[in-house]
Amino acid sequence: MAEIELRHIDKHFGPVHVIRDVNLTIKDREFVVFLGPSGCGKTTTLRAIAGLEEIDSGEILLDGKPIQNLRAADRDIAFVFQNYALYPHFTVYENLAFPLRAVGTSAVEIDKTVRSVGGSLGISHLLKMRPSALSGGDMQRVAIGRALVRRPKALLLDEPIGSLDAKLRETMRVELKRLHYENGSTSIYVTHDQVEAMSLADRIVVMNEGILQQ
Amino acid sequence: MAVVSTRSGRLGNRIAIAIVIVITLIFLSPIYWITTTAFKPLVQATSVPPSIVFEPQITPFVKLFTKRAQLTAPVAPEVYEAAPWWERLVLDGGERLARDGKGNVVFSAYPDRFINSLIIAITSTILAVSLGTVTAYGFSRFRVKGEADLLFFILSTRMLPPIVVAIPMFLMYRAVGLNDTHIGLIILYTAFNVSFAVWLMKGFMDEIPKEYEEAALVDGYTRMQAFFKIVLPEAATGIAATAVFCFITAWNEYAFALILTNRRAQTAPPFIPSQIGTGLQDWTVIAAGTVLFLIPVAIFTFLLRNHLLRGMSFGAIRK
Repeated sequence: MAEIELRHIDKHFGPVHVIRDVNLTIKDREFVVFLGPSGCGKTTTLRAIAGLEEIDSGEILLDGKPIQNLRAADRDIAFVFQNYALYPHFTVYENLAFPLRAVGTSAVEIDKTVRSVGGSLGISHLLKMRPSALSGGDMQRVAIGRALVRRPKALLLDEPIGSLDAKLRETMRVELKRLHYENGSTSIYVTHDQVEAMSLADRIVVMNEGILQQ
Repeated sequence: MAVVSTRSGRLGNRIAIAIVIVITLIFLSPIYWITTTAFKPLVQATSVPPSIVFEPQITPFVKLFTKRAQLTAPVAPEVYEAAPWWERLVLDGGERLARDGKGNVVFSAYPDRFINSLIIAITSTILAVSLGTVTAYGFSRFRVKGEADLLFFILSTRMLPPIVVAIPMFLMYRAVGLNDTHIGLIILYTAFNVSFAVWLMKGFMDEIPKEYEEAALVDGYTRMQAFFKIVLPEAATGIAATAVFCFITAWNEYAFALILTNRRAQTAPPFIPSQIGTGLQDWTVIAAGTVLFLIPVAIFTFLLRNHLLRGMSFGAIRK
């Protein structure tokens, strides 16, 4: 697990200045929530940390090593998307195994890890199903499982429960918190929901118009 | 899916089904005509009014695969007796089969031309679809400078009727020695289809959420691996639909094949009408050649039908 440090991050989309000189240190095992209105740069910051978005200037450090020029694949950071982005042509099992196959894990090892992650998320009975057959909550569990399965240094979550109904959100919040304690991964969570932020975060970072406000 | 079971709804459905059946019959009638013609005796093939009832025979197919000459004198009975049944069919029609010096039946060029068609259509389809898929992916996922202009330029290559460029193409091909070669037609059909493939595939690619690849990127894969493992399977419907269209275009192409090939690389479309012959026009042979020519497209489309049906609605309705 790891410490993430952002130094003077700047990013433009054409004429729009989406991230303005952001400086932030996220301690090991901390659960930080980025809170802010939509379009404030919180998702872009998250994507920049994951390596899905290039930054114009500044440094991103993971355990003290600059990673801003590494490919997403080499950063050892997992990402949970708002729409889950489960691979529709794979079964749940294959979805969970996919990140492990990337690094050439042995079949036995993959099977063990997938089953243990499946068990801790309560989705063991779904392993043979396709994502399209799952409920929203289960899709979300699979997406989180896929992120956790290779024990990344950091876990980034982009409004992961935003598209679930209120009651399910409540359940998932509790579950996320539990997972965070169990896995102890450094986590950054993006949301525009204050209640969500309050109940999950060790620390809340408020963003507006690309500037850290608090 | 909810079924609307009001009376007017059901009546509307029935009318719609009736209309669909009528339209289907209208569209199938040329296929019926050409197929029956291929099995008709020569006289009945061109009779007016067209004969509906006839005794089907396969003489046209025997003729299609052989070379023949008009009989100048009646055949001797012993020769007729010795001939195999399929040769008798030809003899009955007043023609004899051409034989080489050793007495073997000389086959027509139809099988060769048919194989040429297969080689050229399949190769150019594979090339056009792969190039189109990769190009469409690039246009869909990366910010390309002058994207709209480039896409328009790609499409504009389809705006000229092919026959306009046929003569210049002929001169160029003669200069570089591509006349009457398989590779010549393959290049041409690929170039012709690739613009179409790019546009069609771009629509499909745009429909695939980019989060799938991004997920693969953070899961530890390179963009290339993400493309092959995630994007290609997702684009399968689009690829199938594009492949069918490209294959049909390449398979049916006539004008360029007529002008740019004559023997070695000639495809079936220009060959079939060349069999009309002199003296009498044997439409049954033409029909037989055409019927066989229709089969590969039918098989190809049939094999991809599931993909195709999903593909059509998937690519066309949204956007």
